[in-house]
Amino acid sequence: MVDTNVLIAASTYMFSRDLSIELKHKFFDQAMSLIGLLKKHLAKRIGITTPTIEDEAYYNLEEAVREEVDKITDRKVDFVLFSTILNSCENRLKEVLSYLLREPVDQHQVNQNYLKVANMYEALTRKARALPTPKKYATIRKKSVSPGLRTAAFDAFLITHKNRNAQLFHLLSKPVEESDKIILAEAIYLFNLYKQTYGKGVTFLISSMDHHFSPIRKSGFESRPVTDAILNNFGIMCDWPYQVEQTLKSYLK
Amino acid sequence: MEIFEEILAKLEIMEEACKVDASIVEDLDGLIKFCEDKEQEWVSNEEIEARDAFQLFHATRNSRLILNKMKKRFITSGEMHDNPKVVSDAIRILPAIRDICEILSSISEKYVTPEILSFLSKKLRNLRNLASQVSMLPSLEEEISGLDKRKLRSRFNRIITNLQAKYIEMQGLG
Repeated sequence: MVDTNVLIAASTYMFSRDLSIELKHKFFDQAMSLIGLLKKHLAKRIGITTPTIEDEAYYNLEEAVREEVDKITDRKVDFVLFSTILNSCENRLKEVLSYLLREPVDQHQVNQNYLKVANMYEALTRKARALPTPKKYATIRKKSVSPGLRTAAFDAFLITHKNRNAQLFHLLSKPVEESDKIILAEAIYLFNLYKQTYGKGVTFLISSMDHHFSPIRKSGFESRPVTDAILNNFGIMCDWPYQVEQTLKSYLK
Repeated sequence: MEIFEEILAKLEIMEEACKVDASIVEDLDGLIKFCEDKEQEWVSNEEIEARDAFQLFHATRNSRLILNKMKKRFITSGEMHDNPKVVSDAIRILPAIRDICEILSSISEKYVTPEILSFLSKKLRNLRNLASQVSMLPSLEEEISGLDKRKLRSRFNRIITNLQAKYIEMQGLG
């Protein structure tokens, strides 16, 4: 399943090519590369989306443009430019969506899954609140180290604690959105449906750049308590486009 | 929006007769003018916040671009052997444009609510999907022709920077 942000990155990447602009961040390349792989294996129908993801993608694209419109000074010139950009990106988004299978969902069952998802995020948020702050953690831990090494140890403990729990701290600084919970509830519904249809050997992946799904990898650390909770509770693997592409390639060999 | 009913009635007669009535071009010009005036209104009406005015402008501009494309098809329908296909395509599209024009007319005197803008956005997406199905959506080349490409790139870069900041803040790829 391809999340909203990956769809937006791929469609903006395609429009950047139309304008001969080179995007610097490799995330755009990686989102596009995943979409390219899904397009190549279109007949296998491995890339899926849902009506919620599609609606969110269109809405977020519009919102990204509106946020820039808020800053304009010359309406006469900029309205036309931003209208053209929005149309062009939407055309590209439509093209990207055409490479994916748009799955219908049973709203009643999605609602039931939603409760399980909401409970999971609630439990994770409680866990995050119970964590000591990195500073507090490092202050306590450095006492176990010989006095001469305490300053260096403080920094090491602080960074380790902060990075290892980054996904939980992120839940506090940016609480999970309703749309994320609905998307995960839809994914669970589809995964269960696929298992009933195709057998228990089905693997379900979500490609997302949202930390409410995918791990945070920073400074050599990987933080994945939320990702692991999704895997343990629902059997769904979430990761960044590059990692999902590599996993898919290994299955497609 | 009686003009739409008149045009649709005229199109139905054309469809039955399998013949294009050239006067349709003048009718479409009337609608195009209506859209142009509305676009100007959203640009100059500073009482409406820029982001709201932009959405109204965007819906109006898209309606006008599609009407222009429709008009061109009617003009060339004879030589392109596009008759009566252009008539049935126009019958599919015009009700969706009418929906948008009705919303745009109704809100000119009122406070623009998020609900109306969201409704308008969905109506516009529906219109663009329909127009795409019947080849009445302007191509990228048609859309950007006449625009300052340097400015277009600069505005697009701003959006990209915004998206990067939003989505890629912490992930530390590779």
